[in-house]
Amino acid sequence: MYGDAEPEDAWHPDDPVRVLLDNLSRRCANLGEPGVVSADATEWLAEIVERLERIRRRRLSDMEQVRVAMIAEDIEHIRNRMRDG
Amino acid sequence: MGDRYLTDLTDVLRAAGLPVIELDGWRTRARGSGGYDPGKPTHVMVHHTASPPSSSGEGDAWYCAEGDEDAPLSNLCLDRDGVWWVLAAGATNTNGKGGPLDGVPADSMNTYAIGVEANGGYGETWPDAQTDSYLAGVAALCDHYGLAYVRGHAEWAPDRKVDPAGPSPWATGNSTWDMDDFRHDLSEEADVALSDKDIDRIAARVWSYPAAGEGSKATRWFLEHAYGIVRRYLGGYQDDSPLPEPTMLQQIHDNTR
Repeated sequence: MYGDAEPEDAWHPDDPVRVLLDNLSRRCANLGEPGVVSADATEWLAEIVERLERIRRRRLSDMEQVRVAMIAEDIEHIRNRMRDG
Repeated sequence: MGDRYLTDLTDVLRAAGLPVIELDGWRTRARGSGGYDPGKPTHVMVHHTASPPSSSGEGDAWYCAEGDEDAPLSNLCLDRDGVWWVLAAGATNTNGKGGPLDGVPADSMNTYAIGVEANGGYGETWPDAQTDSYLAGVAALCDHYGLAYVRGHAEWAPDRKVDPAGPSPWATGNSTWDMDDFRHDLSEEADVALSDKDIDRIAARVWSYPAAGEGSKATRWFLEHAYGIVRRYLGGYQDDSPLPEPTMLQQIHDNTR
């Protein structure tokens, strides 16, 4: 019904880490990598990294490459947020 | 978490003579971060829903308000009849990743903008009632809240977004709207910053401005358009003020860049 909605539109770098991880998870799912996520934030991030690596091994369209690059940047942002407490 | 909720949104739009429908709970609805911080919002962000012609204004409004996992997806929804559906008074998940732009840090526009979703953009021609209302509503928001910037989603996130798009006064075919043209039309209605295209248009006329008293076509154009725009948006002039000298306009032009 509504074609403009994307999880990327909900991203905000100041949101709680749990919200950011959920957003990243759904963005990975949109690229064909759904998966169960852990309750623990550190393990959750590790799962997302693994899913991103699987995505990267595939042949990607230009737009998919853009989205993968955005996910990679945001993983870095979340990792820094978790490290800095 | 901000605590500014725009609980007068309905009043602002109604005062502009626009039809408004309120969705239950709009005064307290917001994304997870809540309301806006002090000094915000600074922007209106213009979008389309990309929902098909068969979609209804009410259906899209409810979807944006509560139906999507990331809802609320916008503060306002504008239907094809030009009716404004008011969904949320707090910040919303409308813009997301993009930028930086206009002083807004990367990926942070959701907490800086009033987000407007308009039903359409799926290839159908935008109805006049809707585009006229789009301009009038955005103008009213800019005037009331003192917002300096109006941007399209594609300007914020050009790598992944095309909206707003489609046949309208601001685009042919399914291309993205020319937001400079949108802002130019908006400048007829609201106190927003001049676009680069506005400034170029003024400058082009000012540089060829003839000597006073010649009464040429260019002079009349200047009197009717460029001078009025400069006077209205940059202030300091009254209707009976003498025409500014080109050197003054040069300064205005330089300072506005």
